[in-house]
Amino acid sequence: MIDALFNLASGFKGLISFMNLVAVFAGAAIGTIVGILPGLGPAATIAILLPLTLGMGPTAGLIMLAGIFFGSQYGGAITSILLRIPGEASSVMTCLDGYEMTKRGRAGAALTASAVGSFFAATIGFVGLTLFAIPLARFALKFGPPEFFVISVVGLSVLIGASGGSFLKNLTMVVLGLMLSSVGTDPIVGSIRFDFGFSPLSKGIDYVPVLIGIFGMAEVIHWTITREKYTEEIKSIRFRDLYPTREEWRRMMPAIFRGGVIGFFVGLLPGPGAITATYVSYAVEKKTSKRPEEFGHGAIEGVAGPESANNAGSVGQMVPLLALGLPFSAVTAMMLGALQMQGIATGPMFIVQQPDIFWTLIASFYVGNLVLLCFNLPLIGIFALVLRTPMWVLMSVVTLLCIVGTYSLGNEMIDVWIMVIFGVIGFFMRRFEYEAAPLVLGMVFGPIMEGSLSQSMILFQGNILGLWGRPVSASILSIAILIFLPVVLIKVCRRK
Amino acid sequence: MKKSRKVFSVCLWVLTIGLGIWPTGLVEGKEVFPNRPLTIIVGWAAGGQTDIVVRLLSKVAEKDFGVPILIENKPGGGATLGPAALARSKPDGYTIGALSISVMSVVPFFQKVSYDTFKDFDYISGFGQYLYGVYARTDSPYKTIKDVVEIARKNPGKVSFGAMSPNVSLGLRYVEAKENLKMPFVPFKSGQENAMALVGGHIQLSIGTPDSVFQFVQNNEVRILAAISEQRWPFFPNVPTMKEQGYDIDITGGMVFAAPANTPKENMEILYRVFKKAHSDPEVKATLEKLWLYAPYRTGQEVEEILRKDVSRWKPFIEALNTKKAN
Repeated sequence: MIDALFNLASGFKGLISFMNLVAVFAGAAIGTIVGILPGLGPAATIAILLPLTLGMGPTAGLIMLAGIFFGSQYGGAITSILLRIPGEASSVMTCLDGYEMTKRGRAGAALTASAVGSFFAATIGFVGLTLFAIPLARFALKFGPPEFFVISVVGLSVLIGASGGSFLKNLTMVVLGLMLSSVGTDPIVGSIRFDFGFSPLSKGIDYVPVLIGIFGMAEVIHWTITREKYTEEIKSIRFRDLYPTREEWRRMMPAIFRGGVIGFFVGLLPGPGAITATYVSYAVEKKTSKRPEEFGHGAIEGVAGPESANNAGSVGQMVPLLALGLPFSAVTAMMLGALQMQGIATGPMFIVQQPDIFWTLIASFYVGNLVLLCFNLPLIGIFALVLRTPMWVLMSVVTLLCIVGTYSLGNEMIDVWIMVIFGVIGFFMRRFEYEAAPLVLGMVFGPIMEGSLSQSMILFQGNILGLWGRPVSASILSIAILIFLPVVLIKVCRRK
Repeated sequence: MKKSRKVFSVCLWVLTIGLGIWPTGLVEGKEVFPNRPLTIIVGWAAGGQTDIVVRLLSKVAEKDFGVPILIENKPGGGATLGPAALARSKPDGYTIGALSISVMSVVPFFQKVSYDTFKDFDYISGFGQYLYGVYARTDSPYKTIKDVVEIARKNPGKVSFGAMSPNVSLGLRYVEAKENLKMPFVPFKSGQENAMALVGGHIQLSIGTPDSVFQFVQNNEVRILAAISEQRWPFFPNVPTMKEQGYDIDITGGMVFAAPANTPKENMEILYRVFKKAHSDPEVKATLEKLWLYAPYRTGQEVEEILRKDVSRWKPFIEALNTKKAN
């Protein structure tokens, strides 16, 4: 514990550099703007800006990307509350009671509940991150190839179920991602496969251009075709309206605390943790409330709980990324890509070998959180102005960033083509309601699964039952079966 | 509104096209190499030994070239992905690779590779020397190679060892073949992964460079059974060589820079000159020494000679090993 405080202090020291502080502020500002703007989510923004952060160095680059992620969780609430338009998928629940509060003239209080809740819940998340990530990374030394294989399989399976939408569609996307990842060179023997004699493919399909295409470019195509209108006028809110009443304070604080804890733990699980956490939190608040009838008619808990949960959830997602090098959501997959492109070895050794980066990053979270609180309370009116940006300006900039960014990854035109092709694919996926995250995560996990399975098979001399012969992998497998078996059984029983 | 939108989109197109042709625009007029960023392909994961040295060298060389150098990591496939990508690159001097001598000489005997060590590359320079050792956990019964042989004889298929590429695995494969044992070899993508698997108890032995296990040796978690070198290591003088333990084998690897074959002579001359100079940079030398990689500078021709010697030395042994396996 004392160690952690000492390390954190050194992290704050590391944070004090021009580049890092710029990254904190820029990340928070971009995140807030992205959060406010409907249509452009954190995944799209991080995908588009990822290549630009490569020039910032590993620490500042990662700080900025994390800032965007956290900031978008703050900003998403604003349009939900004021206009009933969720800025982010993780702010959908906030619309229910947030907009009702606006109709009753308590918009200011709802905004405060959301910002203060986000602040406290994120802090709960950071404490959890500090407490969990390091022991998990230490424990992860017990993870050999079989364990990494089992975790990947179980993680992807949970993801298929938890990503929302159709189970079959998610499964299709994960399998497609795994198939795409097998193009190129065999990670163990080094032979080239599935390149169809087309030599640029022999190096494989990198997932970063795919990410940029499927999240960034697809958004542009979608807008160009549908011309959805987002902009609406926002009534200005007086500063003194931001103060919740004593009664409102009393009701929102426990909800914030519960939301924070729920969010963090849900965030640890594979899948879009921040989004799932809001549903769980809303349900919990409604169940435990003495006035469940108020929910949907402007209950402040219904704003404070989910808004806290999505922030803590986004922090929880950082734990498997930083401790194991395994990203279980689209946004953390991009951060993994950023780390690897910066030349940083990821995995359990990351925290051990790169303590400066790790602790500076954590310190930046605390500072960024404080910055975000300022952006979201006193300065909220200024940020709300971005809603007046015409979409065609925004989308033009996004197109430019997608193309230039992708090219700058490796100075290869093939990457740009991959980005464009997946932009089109992403557009049709959206049309036909296929989720993008399972596809990308399939691509990220493909090489991990393949490599670790090959290694395990050599260790077990070809006997796959060896996965049951090791305590950690056997426990993970058992837990997975315990979770999945009832689900499958219920489905089978219902069918009869 | 309509008009401003049109103006905006025209501006955007001009900008996009402008950016697209910008680098080629510079080429016209003066044909100086290099006038755009260079790429160095590194066949190992980022953060590893070779990667660190290459990044350092490229920082020094950047100043001489006057253009940035990009590092592209291509780990996996027994360190053959790097050379494979390099062989496919355009031979214009803008893409070069950091390769390992023993990977280039030995690995093609083990697995099908898409390149020819001698026909597909022009070697630029040799800039470092790898050392390899055999490691085990301190809580394991292995103290010498003799222990390994005895335990492996009693438990066929149970004493597994990890290494980054097949050429490095020779260190124990030689013992395995000579003593008629069965020891599974697990390939890893990086030295860190290999060391982690050893410390975590997932493999019994590991072969790798000393830096990959150094912190564990210091913490008394890992011990060094043998140095797979001609002489004992100056920094671990107590560790006997394989030869001293009765197995006449040493793996002498080195890092080299190479360009795809048929790179223009003028550009090769510039590459020779800049990397020779970078090699003598005091910071490079200090880092190489710190990582136990220091070796005198070698010219491209010297590198090729070493490769030919290595091939003639290993060819008979590996072919015998392969036929034995096939039978």
